Amino acid sequence: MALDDLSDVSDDTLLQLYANGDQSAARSLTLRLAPRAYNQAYRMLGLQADAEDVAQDAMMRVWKIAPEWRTGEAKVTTWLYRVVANLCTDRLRKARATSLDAIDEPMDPSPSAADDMQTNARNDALQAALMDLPARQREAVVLRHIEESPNPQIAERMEISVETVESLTSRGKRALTQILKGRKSALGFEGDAP
Amino acid sequence: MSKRMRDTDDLEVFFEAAKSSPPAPSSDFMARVLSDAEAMQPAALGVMQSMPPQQSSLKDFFDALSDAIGGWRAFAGLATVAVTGLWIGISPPAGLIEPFGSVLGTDTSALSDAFEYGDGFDFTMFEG
Repeated sequence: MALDDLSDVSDDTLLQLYANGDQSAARSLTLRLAPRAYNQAYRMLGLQADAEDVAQDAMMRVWKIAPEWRTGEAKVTTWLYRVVANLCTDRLRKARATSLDAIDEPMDPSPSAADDMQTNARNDALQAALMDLPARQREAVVLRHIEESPNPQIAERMEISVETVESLTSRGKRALTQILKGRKSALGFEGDAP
Repeated sequence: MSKRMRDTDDLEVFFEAAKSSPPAPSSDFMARVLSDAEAMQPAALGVMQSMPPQQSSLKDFFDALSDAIGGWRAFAGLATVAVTGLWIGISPPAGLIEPFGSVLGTDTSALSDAFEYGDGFDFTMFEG
């Protein structure tokens, strides 16, 4: 069974169909956009529960705006990206205000990942290191090096110049390298490098 | 230079790991989002218009009649015929009576006899 029967239909059209009461459009939009929103939120927040809350909140805004959505004015994914980014920023700001310790403490890789696969361990270690970066650096690095978006697209999404994107990603990578150096032995890097 | 390249390579290994195993949302989360979508979805247009506005029965009647006889032009034709018939009945032109007169005689009473109008009826009763 196809998970997304309307895979060839654009996001704009799906939103229109949803607003007209088409139930299959609701399903397709959920399958298409919710994992994307969750993924972005998880990279920004580092916690599954927080990421799910933010992604669900962002998707609620998709459902609300659907009847008023103007086709062709903006890309749905770009709009959703900004919504998720803003919700994450708000959440991080509130977390910083309530507990400075909580935000400064890097995440540990989950025990199961460390035991099971090296890939998962590296993934978790990267996520923990990303959480040590300032939010804008983290956002730019994730978009450039994990989502593999081109710099002009990142600039559009983050509403900054391409030069600023380059600066953020460059500084972010330097910081990540320093953070991850201390964890090489735990992640099986001792034998990788010549 | 080589150290810097090695650092970059090391970082790439982490990025590759992140790309190969993106964080997957739980099925509970997906179910919650879909549930929100269905709860907030506007009703289909056909359902919203299931109760059309009521019209007066008189208007319904004339609408149906108009449809049956061919629209307002048919109404206009009917009205013209009715007025003409009434006018002829009240004040018949002389040419209409004469043929009957020539057949039945000059006495118009013969006409009334022929049509059994009764004694008191006379076409001239309606004239000015």
